[in-house]
Amino acid sequence: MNYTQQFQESMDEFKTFAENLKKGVENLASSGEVKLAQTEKELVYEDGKRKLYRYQARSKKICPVPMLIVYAMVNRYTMLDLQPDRSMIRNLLDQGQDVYLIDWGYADRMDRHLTMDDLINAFMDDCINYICEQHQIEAVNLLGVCQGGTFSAIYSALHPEKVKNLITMVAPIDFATNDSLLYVWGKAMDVDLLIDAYGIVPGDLMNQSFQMLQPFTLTFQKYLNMVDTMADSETLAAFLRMESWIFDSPDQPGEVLRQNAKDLFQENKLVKGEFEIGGQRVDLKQISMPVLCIYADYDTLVPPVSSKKLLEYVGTKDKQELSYPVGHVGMFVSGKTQSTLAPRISEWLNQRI
Amino acid sequence: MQDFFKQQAEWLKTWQEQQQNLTKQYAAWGEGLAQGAPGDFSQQVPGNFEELVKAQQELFEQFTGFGQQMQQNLQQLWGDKLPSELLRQFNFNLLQEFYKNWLGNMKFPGGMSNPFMPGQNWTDPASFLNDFMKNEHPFFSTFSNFNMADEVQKIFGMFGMLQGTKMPGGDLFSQLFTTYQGFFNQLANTGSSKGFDKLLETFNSWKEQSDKYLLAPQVGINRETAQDFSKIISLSLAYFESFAKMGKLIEETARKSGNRFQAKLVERSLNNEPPIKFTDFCNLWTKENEAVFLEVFGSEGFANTQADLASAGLRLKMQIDKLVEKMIDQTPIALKRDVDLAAGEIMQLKRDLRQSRKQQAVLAAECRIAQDAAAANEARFVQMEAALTKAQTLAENAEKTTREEVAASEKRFKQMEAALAKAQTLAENAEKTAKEEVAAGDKRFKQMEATLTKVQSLAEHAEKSAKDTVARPSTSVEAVAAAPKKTAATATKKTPAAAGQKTTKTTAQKASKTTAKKTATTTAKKASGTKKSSGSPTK
Repeated sequence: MNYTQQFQESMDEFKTFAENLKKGVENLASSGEVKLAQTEKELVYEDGKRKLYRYQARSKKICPVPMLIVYAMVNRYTMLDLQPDRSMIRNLLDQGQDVYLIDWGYADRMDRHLTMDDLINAFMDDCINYICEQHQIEAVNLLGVCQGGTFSAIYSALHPEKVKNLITMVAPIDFATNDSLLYVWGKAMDVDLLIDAYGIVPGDLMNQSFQMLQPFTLTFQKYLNMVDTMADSETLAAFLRMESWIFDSPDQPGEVLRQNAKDLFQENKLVKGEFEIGGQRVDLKQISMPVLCIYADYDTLVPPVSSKKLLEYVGTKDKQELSYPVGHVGMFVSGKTQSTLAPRISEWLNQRI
Repeated sequence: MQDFFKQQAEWLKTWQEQQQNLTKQYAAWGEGLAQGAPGDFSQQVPGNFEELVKAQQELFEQFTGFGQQMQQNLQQLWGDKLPSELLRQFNFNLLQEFYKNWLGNMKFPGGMSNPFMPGQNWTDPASFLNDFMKNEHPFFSTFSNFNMADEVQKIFGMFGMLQGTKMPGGDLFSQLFTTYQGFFNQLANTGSSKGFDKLLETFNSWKEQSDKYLLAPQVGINRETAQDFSKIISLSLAYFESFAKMGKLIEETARKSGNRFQAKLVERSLNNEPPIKFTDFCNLWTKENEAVFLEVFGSEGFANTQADLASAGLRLKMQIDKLVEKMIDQTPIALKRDVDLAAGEIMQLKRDLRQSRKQQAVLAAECRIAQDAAAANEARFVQMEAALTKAQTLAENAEKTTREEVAASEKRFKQMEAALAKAQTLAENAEKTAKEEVAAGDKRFKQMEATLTKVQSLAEHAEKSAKDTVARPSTSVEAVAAAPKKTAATATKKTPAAAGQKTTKTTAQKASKTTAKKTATTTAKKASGTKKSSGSPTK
C-alpha cells in the first residue's frame, strides 16, 4: 500500500468517523428517556425500600412452583430485563415460569445499620413466606444472581424446607481465589475504616472499582467504539441502556458491605462453615434441594472457580453445573446465551417439579 | 535540595515559635473575649506581635463580619423556631476570628504569600505549594514543563469531594484516574522518570519536620480544637505520602505499558501489519496498555498501595468530618452521628416490630386453634346440655316412677304390714284359740280323764260286778268286757304326755297338738264308743 492509498483510507475513515459522530450526536439529542425493565410486573409486597414484584405471565402453561429471583445489591436488577429482546425475565416467562423478583432499592443513610440478617432472614424470608402463602405451597424455586446468588445459597442453607430448587448464576461462593482483581483488592482493603468513614458507601466508589478491572477498555475504548455505532439509533439506544445500567449503582449499606467484605472476601468464612448471620451458623451441607450452578467462563468479576465451588460444599446429590463462554454481563445480554439459557433453566426445573 | 530543606526547616521553626507565642497571647486575649471585654480589640492584641500580626484589625473585622453574617443566617433560619436564650448561645465570632487570625497571620519565608490569608484559601494547600513552585525551588526543576500546582489542585479538589462537596457527575476515583493520567502524561512528555521519587522524598522530609511541630504540646483555651486541626494537617501529609507512592507506581506502570505499546507497534510494522486505521491504532493502544496495567493491578503490591491510599484518604475524611461536626455541634443542624443513631434506633425498632409481628402471627394461629377448639367445645357443650336435659328428664321421670313405685311399695308394705298384723292377730287369735282349745282340750281331757277314771271306776266296778256275776254265771262275758278297758288305758297314758312335752306357738303345731288331743280324745271317745258300742256304759 502506497502513501497515497494510506492517506486516502485515512481520509475516508476520518470522513466516516465525522459522519457517524454527527449522526450519533443527532441521535443522542433525540434519543429521549432511556427506559429499562419494561416487562410488565406488579408490586405485591414491600418493606420500605425493599420490594417484591410479580411479573405478568406470558405463557398459558404455568409452572406450579413459582420462581423467586434475587439480584445483587451492588447494581440494579434491570440488567435482567434490559430491553425486550435482551430480557432473561421475559424469556423465563415465555418458558412458563411464574416469576417473582426482589428489588433491594436504593439504600440511604437510614440503612446505615442494615445487616445481612435483615436482608436474608427477614426480607427474603418474608417474600418467600408471602409467595408460599399466596400459592398454598411449602417451597419456591430460588434463582440468585451474582451477590444475590450468595444470599440465596445462604438462605437455602438456613431454610432448606422453603426452597424447592436452587439456581445460582455467576454467584461468588468461594473467595480463596485471586482470579479476579476485586478479590485481590478486597483482601487488602481496610474495610472497617471504609465503613466507619462513609457509613453508607457511595455506589460510585464501588462502580469505579469495577471500571478499574478494565481501565482502558471501559474508560476509553468503549466510548471510541461508540462513535462507530451511534449513527444507528437502535444500537445507540442499546448502548445507552447498558450505560444507564452500569452507572445506576446504589449506595451500599455499611454493615452489609462490612460483613460481605470481611467475612466473605477476606476470611472466606462461607465455605469454611464459619459464616454466621443473626446468630445462626451457615452450613452449606444443609442445602439438600437440587442445585444448578450457572457461571460464565470469562467472568472477570466473579471467577468461574468461585461460583462452581458451591457444588463441592452442598449436601445434595442432585447437583449440576452449566457454563457459557461469556463474561459476567454477557450472561444476561448475549443474544446467543439468552436464546438457550431460559429454556435450559426451565427444562432443569420441570424435571424436578 | 539542601536549600529547600534548610528553608523549610527555618520556616517550620519560625512557624512553631509563632504559634507558641500566639497561643500564649491569644489564650489571654481569648479569655478576655470570653468574659465579654468591650472595646477596640486591636488595642488588646499584644504589642509584641506587631511585626508578625499584620492587618490584625482588618482580619478581625472580616471574620467578625463573617460571624455576624452566620449569626444573621442562623436568626433567619431558626429565629422563629428556637428560644432566644438558646440562640444567644450560638456565637460564631469567637471561634472564627480566633483561628482565622491565628493561622492567617503567619510570617512565611522567601517572600511567599501567606496561604491562610483571605483569597489564599487556607484550607487549600495547593495554592501554598504553588507559591513554593513560583519561587523556583530546585526540587521542582524536574517538573520543568509540568504544572504541579494544577495537579495538586486536583488532589485537593478531591479533598473537597471527600468533605462532601462532590460535584455533580464527578467522583473520587474517576478524578484520581484523571489525575494519574495527568501526571503520567506530563511526566512522559518531560522524559522525567524520577518525578515521584523526588516528590515522595520531599513529602517524607516535610512530614518528618511537620510531625515534630504537630506533636508539640498545644496550649490555650482551644487546645483540643487546635489539636484537631493539627491532626488534619498531619493526615493530609500522610495522604500526600500515600498518593505519591501510588503515583510512582502508576508512573512506572505507564512507562512499562508505553514501552510495550511501542514494541508492539514496531513488531506489527515489521510484520507488515501496521495499524493504519485510527481505530486499529487505538485498539492496539488499549490492549497493550491494559495488559500491563492489569498485571500490576493484580499484584499484591498494588493492592496494598491502593489500600494505603484509600485508608489515608478515609482517615483524613473522618478527621474532617469530626471537626465539621464539632463546629456545628451547637447549632440546631442534625449531625451525621445523630442521624446514624436515629437510623440505628429505627432499624432496631423495625426488627422488634417484625419480631412482634411474627409473635403476633404465632399467637394469632394459636388463637385460631383455641377459637376452633372453643367452637368445638361449644358444640360439645350444646350436645352435652341436650344430653343433660334428656338425662334430667329421664332422671325426673325415673324419680317420679321411683316415687310412685316407692309409694306403691310403701302402700304394699303397709298392706303387707296390715296383713301381717292381721296375720299376727289371726295367729295370736289362733294361738289364743289354740291355747283356749288346748285349755279346753285339757279341760275336756281332764274331764275325759275324770270321765275315764269314772269309767274305769265304773268299768272296774262293772268288772267287779261282772266278775262277781261271772263268778256266778260264766267267763265269756268277762273277756268281752276286758278289751275296751285295755285300749282306754293305753290312750290315757300316751297321748296327753306327748301334748304336754311340746309347747309350740304356731297355730299348726297348736293345731297339731289340738289334733293330737282331738285324736286322743277321738281315740278315747272311740275307745269309749267301742266300749259303748260294746254296750258298756260311758256316763
